[in-house]
Amino acid sequence: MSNTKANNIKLGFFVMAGLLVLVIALYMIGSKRSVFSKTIEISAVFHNVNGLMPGHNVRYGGIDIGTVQKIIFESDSAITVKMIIEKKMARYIKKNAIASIGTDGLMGNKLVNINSLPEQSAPIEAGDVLLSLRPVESDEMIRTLNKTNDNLAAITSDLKGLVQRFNKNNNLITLISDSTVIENLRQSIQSINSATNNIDNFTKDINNITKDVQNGKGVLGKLIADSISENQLTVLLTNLQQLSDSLIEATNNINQFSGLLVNGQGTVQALLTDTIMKNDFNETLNQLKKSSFLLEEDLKALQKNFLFRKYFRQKEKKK
Amino acid sequence: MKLPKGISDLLHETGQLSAFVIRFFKEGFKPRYEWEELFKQAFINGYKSLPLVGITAFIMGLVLTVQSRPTLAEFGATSWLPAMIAISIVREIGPVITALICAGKIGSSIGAELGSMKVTEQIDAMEVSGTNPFKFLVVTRVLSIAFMLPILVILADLIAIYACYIGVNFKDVVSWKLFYNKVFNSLEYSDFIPALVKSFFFGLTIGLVGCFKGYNSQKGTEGVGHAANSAVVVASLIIFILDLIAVQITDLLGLN
Repeated sequence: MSNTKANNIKLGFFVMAGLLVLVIALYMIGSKRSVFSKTIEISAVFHNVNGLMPGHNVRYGGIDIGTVQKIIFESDSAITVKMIIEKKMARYIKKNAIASIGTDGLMGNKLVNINSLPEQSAPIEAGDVLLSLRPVESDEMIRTLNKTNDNLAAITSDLKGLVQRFNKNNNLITLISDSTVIENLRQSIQSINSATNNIDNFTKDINNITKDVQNGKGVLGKLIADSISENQLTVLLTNLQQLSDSLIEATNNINQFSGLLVNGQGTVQALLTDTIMKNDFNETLNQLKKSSFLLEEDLKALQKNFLFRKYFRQKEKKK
Repeated sequence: MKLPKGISDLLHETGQLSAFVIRFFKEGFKPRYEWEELFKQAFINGYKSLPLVGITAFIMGLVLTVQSRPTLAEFGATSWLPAMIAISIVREIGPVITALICAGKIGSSIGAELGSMKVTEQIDAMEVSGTNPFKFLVVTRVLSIAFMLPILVILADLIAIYACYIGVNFKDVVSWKLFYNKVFNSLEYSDFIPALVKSFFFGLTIGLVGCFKGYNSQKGTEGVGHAANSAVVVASLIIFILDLIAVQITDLLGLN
C-alpha cells in the first residue's frame, strides 16, 4: 500500500511538472502576443498590405508593442489593418504617427512599423486611425534597381572612354598641371572682372548724365529742356540758312566769272590760253626790266650832273 | 459475393476494432470508476516511460540541430536555428516520436499482458468474480495512456529544445535568454495546441489498439507474441495516418 502511495506521489510530480511546463509555455507564447497585458485597438488604412497577416508584429521605434488583429477590406483600394497594442506604450505614440508595412530583415515576416513625426501631437487613444505610407514593394524595388544598374553601366562605360582619352592625350593633362596657365587664367579673370567694373561705372555715369539731361542740367540739357534757347536756336538756324543761301549765290557768281575767264576773248583770257602771246608778254616784261635798269643808271648819272646837283642837295637838306 | 481472404480478414478486424472502440466509449464514462487502477496504469505508462522518452527527445533535439546547421549556414541563417528546431519539435517531432516510442513500449506491453491474461483465462475468471474486466483492464489502460501521452510530449518538447540549445552552442555562442526569446518569438498557440490534441488521440490509439489486440488474442502463447507484435505495428501505422489527418485539419482551420 505504501508502495502505491509512493508511486502516486511520483505520478503526481510527473503530471504537475508536465502541466507546469505547459502553463509556462502557453504564458510565454501569450505574453509575446500581448494576450495577457492591457491593450488598446488602433487601425491604419493601406492600399496594399503586401502579405501582412493577423498575428504579425507591430513595431514602434524598433520595439514590438503589439500584433495585427484583423485585416478587413473596406473598398477595392482600401484595406483596414486593425492592431492591438499595449496600453502602456500608447502614451509614447502620437496621433500624427505614420504606419508602414515592412519586413523583418530581408526575408523575414511582414510587420507594421509605426514611426513618429517631429511635430507635436496628442498621444493616441483606442480606435484611432493612423496615417499610412505606401509600402515598399520588393518587385518595384528590383525594377528600379535594374534601371539604376543600366544607367550605372552606361555611365561607367562613358567614364571609361573619357579616362582612356585623357590617358592617350597628354596635352590636356599638361594644360591642367601647368601652373602658369592657371595663373594666366586667374589674371584674365581678374582683368575681365575689372573691365566689367569699369563698364558698370561707365553705365552708371551715362545713367547720371541722362538723368541730368532729363532734368535740364548742362548745355545739352538746356538745349533740350529750355524753350527760350530753342527759339534762339531756331533763329540761329534760320540765319544760317540765309547765309548758306547767300553763299550759294556768291559761289554761283564766282563760277560764272571763272567760266567767263576760261571761255572769254579778253586779254586775261589771251594771257591764260595763248602761249605765243604769253612768251611775247614775258619778253616785253624782260625788256621793260632792262629798260628800267638803264633808266635808273641814267638818272643816277643825272643826279651827279652839275646841272642838277644843286636841286638834289636842296632836297636832301629839306629832309 | 465472396471477397478474397485478406480483404475479408481486414474488414472483419476493422469491424471488431470499431465495436471495441464503441464499447470503450460506452463503458468508459459509466460508474463505477477504477481510480486506483487508473493511477497505477498512469504511473506505469507515464512516469515509467519518461526516461526512455526523455533520452529519445534529447537525442532527437541534438541531432536535428547539428544536422540542420550546415544547410542554414549556407544561407548565413544559423541564427534561425533555434526557431526552426523549436517549431519542428513542437509541431511534429515531439508528438510523433514520443507516440512511436510509447507505441513500442506501452502498446507491446499491454498487448502481451492482456493477451496472456486472455490465454490463461484470467479475464474470464474476473468476469465470474463480478469485476467488469473491460472497465478494469481496458478503460483504465486506454485513459491512462491518452492523458499521459500529452504530458510526456510536453516534457519531451522541453528536453528536446534544451538539447537544441546545447546543439546550437556546439558551434555558435547563444545565451539561454536569447535562445528562449528566439524560441518563444517563433512559437504560436497554433503550433502548440494542435500538437497536444494530436498527442491525446495518439495515446488513445496506442491504448485501444494494444488492448484490442491483447483482449482478442487466441491460440495460446503463440497468440500472445502475435498480439504484442501486431499491437505495435498497427498502433504505429494508425499514428502516422492520424498525423496525416491532423495536418489536413490544422491546414483547413488555417493554423499552419
